[in-house]
Amino acid sequence: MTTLLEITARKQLKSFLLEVELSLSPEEGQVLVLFGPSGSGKSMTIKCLAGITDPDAGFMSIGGRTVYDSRNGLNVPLRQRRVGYLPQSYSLFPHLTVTENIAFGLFDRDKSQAARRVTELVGQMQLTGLEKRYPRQLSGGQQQRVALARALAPGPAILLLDEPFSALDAAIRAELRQNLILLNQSLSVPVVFITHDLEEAYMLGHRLAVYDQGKVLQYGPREEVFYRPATKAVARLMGIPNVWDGRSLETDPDRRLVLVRTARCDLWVQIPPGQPLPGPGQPVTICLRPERINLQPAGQFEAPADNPANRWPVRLAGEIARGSRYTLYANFLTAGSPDFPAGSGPQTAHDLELEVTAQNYDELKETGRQDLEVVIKPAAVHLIF
Amino acid sequence: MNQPGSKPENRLQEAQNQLQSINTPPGDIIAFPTKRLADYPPGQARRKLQPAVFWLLISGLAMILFLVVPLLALVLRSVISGSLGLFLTRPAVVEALRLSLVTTGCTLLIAIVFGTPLAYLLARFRFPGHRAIDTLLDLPMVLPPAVAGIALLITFGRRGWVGQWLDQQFGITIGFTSLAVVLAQVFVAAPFYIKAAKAGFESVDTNLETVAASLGSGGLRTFRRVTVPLALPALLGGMVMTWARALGEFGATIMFAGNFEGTTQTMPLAIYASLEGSGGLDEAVTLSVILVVVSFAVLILFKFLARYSTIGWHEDLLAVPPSTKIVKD
Repeated sequence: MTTLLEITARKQLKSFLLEVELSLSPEEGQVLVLFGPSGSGKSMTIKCLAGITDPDAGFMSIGGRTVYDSRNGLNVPLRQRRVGYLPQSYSLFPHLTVTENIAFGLFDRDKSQAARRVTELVGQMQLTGLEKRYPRQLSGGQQQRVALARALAPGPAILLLDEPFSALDAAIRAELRQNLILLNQSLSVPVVFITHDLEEAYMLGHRLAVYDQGKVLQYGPREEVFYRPATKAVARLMGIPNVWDGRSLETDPDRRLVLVRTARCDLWVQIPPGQPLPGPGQPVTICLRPERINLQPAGQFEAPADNPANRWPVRLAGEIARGSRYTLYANFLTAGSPDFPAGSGPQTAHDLELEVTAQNYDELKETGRQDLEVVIKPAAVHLIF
Repeated sequence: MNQPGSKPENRLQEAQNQLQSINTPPGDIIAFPTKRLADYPPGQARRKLQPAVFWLLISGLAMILFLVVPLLALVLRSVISGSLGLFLTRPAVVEALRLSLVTTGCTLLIAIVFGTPLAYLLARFRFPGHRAIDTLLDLPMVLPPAVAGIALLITFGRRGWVGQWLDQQFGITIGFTSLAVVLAQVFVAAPFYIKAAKAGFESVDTNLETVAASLGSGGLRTFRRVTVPLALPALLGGMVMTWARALGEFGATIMFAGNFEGTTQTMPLAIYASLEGSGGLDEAVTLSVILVVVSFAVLILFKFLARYSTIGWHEDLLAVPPSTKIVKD
């Protein structure tokens, strides 16, 4: 088996053209998360893959088996595609018991074999004792496990989950998410998971496809998409608040460093090995995740001799407590760069958004927060060019 | 929390004292409740019956009386006159009852067999003419039955467009036969089932059908195992409506099928005939009572089926609704 999954599909929708090219191979992990805002084409991708709707053109294979190929007219119907499809809110059959729900897809097996399979899944999904219950007599977590057991019963080649948690409240969402992660580690079925929740996408996915307006803006391992977005649009979708336009001033190829001038400051950026460096004067974009910025009392930091550090005195302009961490808004005390006229930078009330842990916050508070500075390691900065 | 006039530290002490008295360790007090629930016994501020509700009750009662009294009069009259047993054995009455049951049974069957696919089609697909068909289905329900009878007569009657052709080609006449009775009933009554079934199918989440298909289930199996059981209460409701409408059918039947004892004289026609003819009022009353009893029995049966079919998984139908007690002071 070369790939777990291949989707190449084009479909004209009412408000945009959906164009998708994705593939997943076993060594890349088995959970593919489609992430993006609502109405960006994620759900349509899954529906095409399941065979609920047809794309206008394309090719799709599941576990090496071609299920759709518009060039030779192949279109395997939904019930022969062997997909475990879980729509929003699970869609358990309300008039069937847990056992009957799980056994629904086992109608072509002989009775004793089907019964054995149901018993096995009931055990695996911790549903023992609930066999005779109807869906409305189950908790959210139990319903989820029944839905998974039902989908897994006929031995699907892939699981397709279309925002399964979107309608639930936060506490149960967290529980179900956790269940799914643990469960998935014990299953050997590839999963395509749709979500518009960034945290969920990161927790569940081995690979992330970032959708917007029917296009896949970036597709890759989750860390890469999360920390090294390819475009400003992806950076925005990944929730990176500090995105600054600038241009490269000088480069240091030996240490793979670039000095970038932005409207707010000049800062050093380290480019990871294997990637090209921008030429001098080239327009670039800085992406700075809030949790990668260090905030500390001024004068504590000593720069290592071999590496420059970006450090500026700042004044805090606002804060949001989030329980275990704090989001802080800061302004640079130094003047902006002379190369950028006033007003050319982003129109925000503050220069910098950063995040500190609650412990860090308390420590800073004890020292008094009159003279603070931010320190940003060159390797913590991501450059788009 | 900090109300003017009471010092926080005093209130903290107060709260601690109170809590200590109910055996709670002090120290973890976070709020200062100023009122104790124990001081407020229940039922002291019960809502009074509003005058508006009183008038609703009065007018509702009038309506109920209007519906119930004639039925009671019918039953009482038949008991008092003692004619029930007398007419029940008359062959004309037995024939009429048998004919009514057979024809309405056939009508119901035809409505289900031909109406269900149409209802599903209308519920699941949007196509040109969808709305036109939907409106067309309403037409027999609002059309005066006599008009339906005439329409059927000029179509299926011996000189009608289809009737003439059938007569010439196969020597089949429909008019004034039991088949005509069934056709008249289907024409006026089937839309009730189709409309109800359409609404029932629409209420079944299409995701359930999609999931069933993804589990390998074929269209017919999904329909049988998922769609029909979930739409069953609506389907049964539609069946009862269609059957009841067919049982009461008078106008279209008398126009298209005529009033012949044993072949086209159904119960409503027999009631009319006995009132006009020899039997007089007593026979008409007896026939009516029989009809009331049969209708009521069927209604109960279908209600029971609708409820029984969802026992277990649909608790709303099982649970007794909380009684709303109205207290008048």
